[in-house]
Amino acid sequence: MNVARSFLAIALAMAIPAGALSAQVAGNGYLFHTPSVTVSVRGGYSAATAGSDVFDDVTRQLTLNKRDFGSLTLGGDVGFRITSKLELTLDAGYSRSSHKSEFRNFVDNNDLPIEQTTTFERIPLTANLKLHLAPTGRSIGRLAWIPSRFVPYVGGGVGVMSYRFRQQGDFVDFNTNAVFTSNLDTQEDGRDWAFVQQAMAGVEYNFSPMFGLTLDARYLHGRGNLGTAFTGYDRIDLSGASASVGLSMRL
Amino acid sequence: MNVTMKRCVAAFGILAATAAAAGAQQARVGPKWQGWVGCWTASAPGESAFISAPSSGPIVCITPSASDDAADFTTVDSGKVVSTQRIDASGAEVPVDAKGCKGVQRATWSADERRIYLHSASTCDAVKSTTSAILAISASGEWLDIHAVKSYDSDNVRVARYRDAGIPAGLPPEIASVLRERSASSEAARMAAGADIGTAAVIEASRAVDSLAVAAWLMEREQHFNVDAKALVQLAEAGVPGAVTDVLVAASNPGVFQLARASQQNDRSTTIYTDAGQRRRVSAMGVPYDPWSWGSLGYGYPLGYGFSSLGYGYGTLGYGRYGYGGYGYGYGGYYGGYMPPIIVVTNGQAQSRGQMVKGRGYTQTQGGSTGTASERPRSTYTPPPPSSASSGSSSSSGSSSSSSESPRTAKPRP
Repeated sequence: MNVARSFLAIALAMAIPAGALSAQVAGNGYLFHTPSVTVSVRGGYSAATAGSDVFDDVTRQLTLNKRDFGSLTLGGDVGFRITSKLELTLDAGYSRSSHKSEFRNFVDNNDLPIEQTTTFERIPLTANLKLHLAPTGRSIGRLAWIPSRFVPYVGGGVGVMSYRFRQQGDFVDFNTNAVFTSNLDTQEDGRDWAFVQQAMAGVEYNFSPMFGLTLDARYLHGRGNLGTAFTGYDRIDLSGASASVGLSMRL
Repeated sequence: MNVTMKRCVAAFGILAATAAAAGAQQARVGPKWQGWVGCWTASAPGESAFISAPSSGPIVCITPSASDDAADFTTVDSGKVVSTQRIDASGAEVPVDAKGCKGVQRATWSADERRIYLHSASTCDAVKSTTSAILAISASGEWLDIHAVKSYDSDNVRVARYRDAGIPAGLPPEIASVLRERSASSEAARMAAGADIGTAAVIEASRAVDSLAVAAWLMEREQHFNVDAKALVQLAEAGVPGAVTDVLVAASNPGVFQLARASQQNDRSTTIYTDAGQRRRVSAMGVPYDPWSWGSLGYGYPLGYGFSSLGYGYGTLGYGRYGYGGYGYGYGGYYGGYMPPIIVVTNGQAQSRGQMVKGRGYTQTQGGSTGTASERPRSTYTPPPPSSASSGSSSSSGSSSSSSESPRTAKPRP
């Protein structure tokens, strides 16, 4: 819910000053210049692939499913026009799942569940090339640029991801069956970084010269190290697919 | 039988002639020359169309001819006919031969018969030039005479405005009597001719004459447009050049753009009247009327148009400052002339960039040159009497006196 509220707040923050700006930069259905920059915010759902063995173990022992690692996502990008169909975008996203769970198979000596919270947080920062499959708009003279109504696109890029996989709460020591409280984290100081790649596709619906709605689907691939708190596991699977709706503003 | 047959043939002939006349009457869709019929005097941009005509100086009187398509342009100065020219807008190519220049001229009506598109090609002293022009009536009833001249690789646009001079005393009686008969119908026809135009007229004009002339015409009409994206696409797909659509966009968004005539600093052939309050420079040309360039009679705008450097990063754009070749579409030669319309991005008001430098105080670093962006002319401006226009000076020199705007300066507080 916080992510959804944040998205709404950012979209409103974008729209309110833009409304005042619109009269200065746009006429009746056209901009006074070819836009060189597009700013977008988007919100949607990001599903985690959760394909590595650490997820297998967690979901086997705790009352978690792999889909629990999916979450609402918030993102935004700044696009710089390269050609009429090609755009360079600098993209950031944020998704965070946090679920309480208990051991599937154990309770404590008071018959109470042994509870913990598992958090999976991903913040990808990528640079992408977005190829519009139709012209984004049409210049007429030097003072009018008319956006196309629908513009599909595909794209891809690379970047880094700040990620965190953390479990806080009570755990069972399988050697002693003791229940202990701990904080298992990706790194001692929290986050770690990994290289990621992503591919995307979507369509923009331009409902005004300045603004458009974006339906976006993307798949991000990456794997990252797990810290010493998760010893012996493969690299954690950071991959996932996401779908989002966005609001874009041309400048 | 023969008599009956003859009567039948005669009756048929009368019927046919009547039908043809009626058909011709019905085919007429616009006021044609009726809006132009009258006497005209040079008018400065922004000058009220309703102020009284000057008591002296040349005027052009347009009188109808036997043909609906043709009218006679007679220049009268001090009660004497200086010259007469017939303009035939039937589309027929007419040879012209005057002042050592030879060529052809062709004039046609617009589809609504409210404007005339004129083309000419001439050779004067081995110099070839072509002209395309629009003769139109503005919303305020002024006659706009807009010429785009190409000579060698040089393009030039020149505009002249004329306002109704009434029927001045001392007009040759044969002209005065014709005009008195037509004065009432001319008024209505002038209103019809000056009514607002739409995109169809812009498309037609763009196909008929040079885009520079069309752009200047749109600006000089001072009509508020409201073109939307759909109209712009329609215009573009009809082949209307960007220079024309830019003017339409600017005229449709007066809160953002201001169409203006940029001043031309060195126009030696004109008298510059300066309206300091409006930062607008108007030039009057003391040039006798020439039969092949009636536009050079009075006020022209030797004022270049260019983009200002204000606003949204359009930079100092411009369509270029075209040198004036000195050849009108006719053969007399124009004086002055101006560049195509510019669009000034006002963004509220013009601002220059400056900075405050330690030890030096404030300093201007970029832009903000005064006088380059003129305000849209208003109807309250009354220019000084056009004494130079009646001076009868030679057509090559014009009047040379000028007054310029004083730059704003500071002095110590007393």
